[in-house]
Amino acid sequence: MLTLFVITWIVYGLTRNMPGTPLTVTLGETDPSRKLNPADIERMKKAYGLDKPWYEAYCIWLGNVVQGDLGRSISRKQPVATLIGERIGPTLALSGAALLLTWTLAIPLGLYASARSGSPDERAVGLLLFVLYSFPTFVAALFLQIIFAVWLRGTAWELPLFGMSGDGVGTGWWHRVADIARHAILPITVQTYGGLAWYSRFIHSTMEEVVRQDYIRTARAKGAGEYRVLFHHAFRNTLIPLVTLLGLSLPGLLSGSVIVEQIFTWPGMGRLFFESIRERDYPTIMGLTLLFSVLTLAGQLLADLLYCMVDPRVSVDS
Amino acid sequence: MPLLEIKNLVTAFHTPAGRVPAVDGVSLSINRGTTLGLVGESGCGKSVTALSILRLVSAPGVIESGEILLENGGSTQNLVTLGERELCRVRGGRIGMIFQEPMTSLNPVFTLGDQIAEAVHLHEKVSRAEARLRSLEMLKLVRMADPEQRLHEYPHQLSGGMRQRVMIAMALVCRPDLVIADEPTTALDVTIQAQILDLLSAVRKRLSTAILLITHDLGVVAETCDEVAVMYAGKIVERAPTAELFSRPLHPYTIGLIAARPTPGASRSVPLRTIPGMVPLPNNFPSGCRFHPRCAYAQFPRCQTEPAELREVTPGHFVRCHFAGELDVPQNH
Ligand SMILES: Nc1ncnc2c1ncn2[C@@H]1O[C@H](COP(=O)(O)OP(=O)(O)OP(=O)(O)O)[C@@H](O)[C@H]1O
Ligand SMILES: [Mg+2]
Repeated sequence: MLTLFVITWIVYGLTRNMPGTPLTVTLGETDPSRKLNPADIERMKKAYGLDKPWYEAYCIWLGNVVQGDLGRSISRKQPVATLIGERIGPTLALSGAALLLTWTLAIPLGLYASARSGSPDERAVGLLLFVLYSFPTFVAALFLQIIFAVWLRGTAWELPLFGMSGDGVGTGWWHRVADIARHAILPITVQTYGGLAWYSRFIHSTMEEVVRQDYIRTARAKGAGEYRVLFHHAFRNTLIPLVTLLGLSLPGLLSGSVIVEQIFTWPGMGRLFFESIRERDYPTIMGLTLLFSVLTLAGQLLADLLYCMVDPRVSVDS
Repeated sequence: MPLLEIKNLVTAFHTPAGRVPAVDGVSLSINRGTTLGLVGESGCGKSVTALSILRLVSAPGVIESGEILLENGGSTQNLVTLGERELCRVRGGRIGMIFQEPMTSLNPVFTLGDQIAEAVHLHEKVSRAEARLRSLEMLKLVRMADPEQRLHEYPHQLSGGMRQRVMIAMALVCRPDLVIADEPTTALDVTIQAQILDLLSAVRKRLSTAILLITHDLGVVAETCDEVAVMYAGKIVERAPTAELFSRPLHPYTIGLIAARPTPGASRSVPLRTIPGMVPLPNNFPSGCRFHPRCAYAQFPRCQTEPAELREVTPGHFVRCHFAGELDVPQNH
């Protein structure tokens, strides 16, 4: 609770002290001819409570939040809760699929590298992962866009460049689902790819560490075969840091990836966050900050719970 | 035919700094149901010898040459060249192993019951209930209090001595012909040490298992072993039946060890570090006889240039010294 309070307080202070206000940024920058006259600005400031010092405004915001009201977006003229409600689905679909894919690929890959430890196979996998890892997400995204939306244009392999749904698809829910899925392929690939290299390297290096432990030697000494040693004795111990990581990736599930959503103009939370900052849309920024903070804390709780489940040395009460 | 015979074993580590021959031509043999003590100062290669027997030496260590022959129903199998599947059958099945570090040798995430039962399942086709029963039986044999309850506990809930009992139970659950115990008590309190050693000899009598007991401690050897091999700088320097070795030690190193032994009645866990000079490290062994820089009887230049061979001086008593049996040494008895 205290953590939440401190985080939101700091973020509120920071955003309110950024140069520019919602009014100057939205109207003034996009269309200089529509610059408001000073009297209008004063009036609107009053209406949105921007005339008060930030700490006072924070208290009002906090009071509303406690009553379950996140306020209204300044730039979008909609309640913040509604905005978040609209964006949460696309983000959840995208990052959920990406997370699932990342883990289902990263675990076998990391284990494969460990099982082949010291062989050319392992070095090849290691090198590939390293190259992937050091290759920035947005560059990969650009490459994929060029390949699938430009080079393969007109073929059956063409994939949409951005957005979540196209025009002129047939009616019926299956057409819409298929359309969304087609739009989601590239963003999911890009978002998976970023985490994949990192997670498999993590699994691989944790396994390397675990395999050096005395109890692994004990397992060999009692006659366990190489695969049993790796997948039963070693992997069960590698799971301990892994579940912590899983818990900590929970907030990412909803916050989405700003970069990926921005590149593919995916109507999700990451993009909403990015845009609300650009527009100095304080209520939306604060609503999202609050949500992400709550999720981070929940993720930590989940990590702790999972940790207790896989590590018998830790008991639930501690 | 001996149960296990090691012939000219060479195990070396290939480190970036060069080849480190930790075990450099060791020959040993153990008969069924007997206990062989392997003694020597820290770093002389005892653990590497033990690990080599089950091919558990981890990279960059490799067994470079030699034979490890295990008697197998009238014939022998060479563990150095044995295939992976056969080797797994020997590990834990015919040869059990107890390690020096009880605190870290059990897997922290599995219950003790699961870990002992796993050893049974790996070697015998038995039901879960049967394996559980066998684990329980072993825990009783190693005198664990509350064995039923221990089955469901995790290693972190036990003290070092208790964990070592579990290790013993696990090593013995498949009734191996040989147990290798690598300093099973070094990490434990003195009182617990005595209990564990008593337990080992009691269990040996019950199951008539042969034991290779590795230790620093000559007192332990005198009490529990039938035969003793003394190791120095990667080689066996003397080998004899226990009574013979203690009454008529022939190698100057053994003589030094026995002289440095605390008198009976004193604490028996004093390490053997009282011979003047440093233990040579395997990357820099002295030329000739490896003990010559520390030897009170060394004669130059012979001891410095000519490596000594292991010779049978009297029946069953082997010594690696140019002047074995000719030295004018004060005898113990
Ligand atoms: N992984 C390794 N890499 C390089 N050298 C090693 C390695 N492991 C062991 N050695 C070398 O092997 C030598 C023998 O080690 P070993 O563990 O067999 O000694 P020990 O007789 O069991 O000693 P202690 O009584 O301390 O257990 C050591 O001096 C060390 O230099
Ligand atoms: Mg050792």
